[in-house]
Amino acid sequence: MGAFGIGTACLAAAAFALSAGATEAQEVHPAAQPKGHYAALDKLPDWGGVWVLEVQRGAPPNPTPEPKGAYKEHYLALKAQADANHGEFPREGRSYCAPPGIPYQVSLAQYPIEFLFTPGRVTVLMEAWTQVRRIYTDGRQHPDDLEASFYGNSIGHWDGQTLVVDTLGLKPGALIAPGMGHSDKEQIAERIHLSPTDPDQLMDEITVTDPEALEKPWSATFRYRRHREWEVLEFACAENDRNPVGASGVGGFKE
Amino acid sequence: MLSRPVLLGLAAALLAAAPALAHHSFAMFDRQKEITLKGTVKAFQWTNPHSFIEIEVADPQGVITPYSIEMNSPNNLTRQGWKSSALKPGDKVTVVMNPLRDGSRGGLFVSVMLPDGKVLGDPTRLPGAPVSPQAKAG
Repeated sequence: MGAFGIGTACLAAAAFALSAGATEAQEVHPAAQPKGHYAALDKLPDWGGVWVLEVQRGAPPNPTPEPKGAYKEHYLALKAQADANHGEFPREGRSYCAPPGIPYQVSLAQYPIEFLFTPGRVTVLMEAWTQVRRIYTDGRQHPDDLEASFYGNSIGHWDGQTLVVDTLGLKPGALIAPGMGHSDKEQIAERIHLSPTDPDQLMDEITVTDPEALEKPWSATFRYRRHREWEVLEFACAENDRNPVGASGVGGFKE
Repeated sequence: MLSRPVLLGLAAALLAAAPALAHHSFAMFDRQKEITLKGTVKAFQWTNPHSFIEIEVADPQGVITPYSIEMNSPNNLTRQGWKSSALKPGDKVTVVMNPLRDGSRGGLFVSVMLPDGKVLGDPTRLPGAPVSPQAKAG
């Protein structure tokens, strides 16, 4: 009984410490108090429908990111393995159902994305891997103590009809491109807007800066085609994952 | 390995287009080869991240060998005009696939001929083909 009592007291003390910490740290941002601000959304551009990456004929090709130092050595080692295995880069311990992360997923074709505008926030819903990017436009800053994630922490603002986004806090598995990792100094800047000449094309001008992993900032433009008639569909990757990643990082096939 | 009776056709095919995006690499499949299987549908798995046709192939002695044919996701198949009802257990079909390099009983879907003779393929495997009829390349 005595031991039980001490244990309960310790648990209670721990719970109190956690809740006290949480209360101190949490500030309520404007996006969490949207009422009264919906009318302002009418000023934003029409990004309705869903969007799919397209390669525009005649557009200049995007440059290739240039890794440096240890990141370059690691990339070249993975590239050598890919070249020896029909182009397949090892997955480095991650399931194929793990998302590619930002910025790599921005460059992937075939699966659509859609945008939701709510007060103080733009939400990007991505069909592939059922991923979500939350871009806060309510004036908040990045948290000081970011925990790394596949989509990082995104804040943004509207520069006229252009959404300007800044992203920090990507975890190592969120690649720049196949085999290309990044340091914790990685920062991703995006300017997302409709094409000046084609109202059904959306452009994402992206610049990845990483002084430790890249020789120089990598800038690329990705274009998306609007499909107003489409809907984003369900993608539950765990439903029937028959392609396990083996010890060597190479994908398998369950008969 | 593939037994000779089920290996009705084996042709070197031209690599047509960049592989359709999948949630994994297609390196495990030999896209230079096409194998034709005549058999009976055991299951049509309309599932993410990939759909699969499970087919049973009988050799002349009646020995049945199961194969798994990996397809695109139901999301992309839907936009190509497929329905989950396109195939059902018991259908007698002819499937063309790119075989697994390691000789396991499976491959990557190329096309299927239904009992009524209609052929369904993967339009993204054709050179320059869009994902959907509405897709434009600018």
